[in-house]
Amino acid sequence: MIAPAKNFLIFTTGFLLAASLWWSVLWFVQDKPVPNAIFTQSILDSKIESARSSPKVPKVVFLGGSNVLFGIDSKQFARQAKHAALNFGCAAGMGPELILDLVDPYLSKGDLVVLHWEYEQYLFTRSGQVNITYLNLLFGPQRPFASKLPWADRQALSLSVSFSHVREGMETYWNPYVTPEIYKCNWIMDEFGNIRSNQGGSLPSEMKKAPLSSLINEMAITDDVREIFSAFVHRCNERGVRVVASWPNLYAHQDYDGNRITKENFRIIKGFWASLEIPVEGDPRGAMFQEEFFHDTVYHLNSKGVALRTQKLVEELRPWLEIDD
Amino acid sequence: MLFNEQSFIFIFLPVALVGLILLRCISLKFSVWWVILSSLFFYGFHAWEHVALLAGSIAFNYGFGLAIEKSANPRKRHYLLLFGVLLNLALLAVFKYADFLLGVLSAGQTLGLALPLAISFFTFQQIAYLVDIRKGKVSSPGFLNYSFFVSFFPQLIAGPIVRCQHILPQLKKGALGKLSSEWIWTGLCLFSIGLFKKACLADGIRPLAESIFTASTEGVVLSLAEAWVGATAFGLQIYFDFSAYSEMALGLGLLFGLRLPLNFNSPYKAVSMIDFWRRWHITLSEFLRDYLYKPLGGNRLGVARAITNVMLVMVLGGLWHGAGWTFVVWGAFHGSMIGANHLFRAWRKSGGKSESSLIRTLPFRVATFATITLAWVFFRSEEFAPAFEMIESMLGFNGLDLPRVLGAVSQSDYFTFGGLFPNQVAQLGLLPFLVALLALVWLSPNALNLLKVDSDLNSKIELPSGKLIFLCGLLFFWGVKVSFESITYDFIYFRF
Repeated sequence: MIAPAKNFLIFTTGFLLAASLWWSVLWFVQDKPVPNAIFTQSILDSKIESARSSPKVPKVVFLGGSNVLFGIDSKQFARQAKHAALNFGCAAGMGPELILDLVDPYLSKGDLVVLHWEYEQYLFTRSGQVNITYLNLLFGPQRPFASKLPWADRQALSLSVSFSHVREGMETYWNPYVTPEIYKCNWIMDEFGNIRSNQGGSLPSEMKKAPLSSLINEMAITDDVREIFSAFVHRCNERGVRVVASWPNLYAHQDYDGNRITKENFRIIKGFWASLEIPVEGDPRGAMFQEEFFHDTVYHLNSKGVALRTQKLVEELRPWLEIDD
Repeated sequence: MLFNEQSFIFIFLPVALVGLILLRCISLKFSVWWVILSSLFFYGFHAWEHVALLAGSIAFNYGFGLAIEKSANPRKRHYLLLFGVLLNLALLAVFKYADFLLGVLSAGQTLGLALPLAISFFTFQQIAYLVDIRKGKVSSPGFLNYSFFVSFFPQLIAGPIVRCQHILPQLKKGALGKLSSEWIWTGLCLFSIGLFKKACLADGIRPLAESIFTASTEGVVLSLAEAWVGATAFGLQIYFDFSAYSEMALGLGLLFGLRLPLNFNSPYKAVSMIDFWRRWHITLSEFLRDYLYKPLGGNRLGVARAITNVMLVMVLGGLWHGAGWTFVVWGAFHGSMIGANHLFRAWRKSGGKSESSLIRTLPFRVATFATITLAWVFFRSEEFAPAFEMIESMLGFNGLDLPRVLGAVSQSDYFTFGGLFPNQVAQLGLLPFLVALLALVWLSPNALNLLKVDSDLNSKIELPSGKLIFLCGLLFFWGVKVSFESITYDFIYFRF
């Protein structure tokens, strides 16, 4: 064998050996979830339990990240709108595709899905610069979902897992002094998936100071997001499930006022939904609230804020509910 | 685009290399053009608006060099050089030091100009060129070759500070794009080792340094152990970060058919401060020595003058790293330590015996390392108060926190038994990693020794052994793997 080819073979063997070692480690830790994944999965478990025990059809399903979890009271909505409702707000870090995949089995003909995605979600990519929560779930309790992703994304994601993920997974599994149970979410949720432990609270000062970067910088909705929602809308249309988009509740930071880029971003989002023939209810400004209505982050409303936001939603969605009637 | 990013490794580098090889078959001139354009693209990827500044600086200095060379009048040559150097320094002053100077003058205003990437590097490189052309050490290489010499991307962003004499003879020999198996594999091995060092070692220890320095900034009074661990962690972070960049630059140079000067040679194995600066950022040390220290008189005018010169040079060296008082103090600290080192040497009259047996050199090596580690505190801190507070902790002025197991002994104002890390601010899970890195730094041969690359640009490059190529394949994977993780960090020297 000529020398360059031999050296190439040696180099490649080293490379592949290291790759095999890494994938073996990942395989070994896949059933040893890290604390963050245990926490998020426990939220998902209670969400799925709420969806499973809510057989009423047609129903309104509020979908999104934690802005829905901490933003809408489906019990209040059901009472005021006289229509069954489910809060399927999870965690924004999970990304939209996993949330849509999880809710899919619980959608039936006649249901109305109301989408409230956090602004960062429009920038979601399946691989690349991904959120740690998403990654922890995919290489933990949400392995079945990960196996459905395109091959190239799966490989890129497996390389994105950090060494600390492996360390944390092993520490959680082997630490004789703690049980993984302690990492489960201890927020109080009712049977409709609504948070009940958001009384009072306050917005940390650093959050009050900083506007969302996704709103003050030019937004480019990713191809992955377009593909994911296009597929979801297609599935819903086939099953007679109606889809409406709305806006996430957000702290009304002064930097959004009269900001040309922010205004343009709202227009881009509306255009995106229009391209999928999804109507948009309400306006982004109407979903923004003052400091007193927030619990702990710019997306999380306290119980007073939730009541106000839910009341507004009842009004905004009434035309859709009348069609049902 | 960083050397450790996927866009560089999998797109830019292969395209630049393939383009070079194809164009080299047609003409050397085309391949030089290709590398210049690739380098400008690489530079512009960070900030397009600064490409014009780089191009303007190249054109201006080339023109001045030509004018100096053409002028027959020595006086005119002298003034042209002076004017050229001043304009280069003015550019640096406006972009890098204006806000600092305005702050010193309490002007209450800032220009708020974005710092163009690598401005310190390409400015110094071109000042050296003007001086060399004035002294007749080099002749004008032609605009194309000159542009190549300044913009060649492996050295553009963070050094080495290449001189015309390093690159031009190679270009004239037609070395660009003329590849051999030995050079390709040595280049690839250096790049892989550098990639691994940056991604896994430098960025791996970073959280430990970050956690402790952040706590210090927030006003936490660190214990002696915490302060030393934080400073050592940062010392290791910057060591592997700069070592990685230097080796990747060298490796990339070889892949393009050119040898760049060595810039990093196991500096923590130094047995004195003088020795340290012969190993750390070698090309900057040489620049400061040849273009500042020697013109100031060097050591020809007595010990006192030599020490004053060293102080001045090191303060300016500190300022070169960053526009801030902490950098000035860092430079002054190094200057005073080098001065002390000169005095010590004069007293012992044993200069040149630094590389004797390990046992004999160990105390000197440890003392040098401890001194450098103390100095890093100023380099890393943005403000004086936390830096001094941390130094006080390192010197034991903030009391001594001892392990809890010794708690039976009575406590005092000075001794407490709350554990070595009582503030619980450090990511202590990384302590074994810190120890492993120290062992690596002190006990293992460096990449250049392993690959038999020395400082002589004309020495032969040998084909690395099969074992080494295999090891580099492993390291390349780990480096690439980490580049896929969500957060990648700039090289520290990118800021300068």
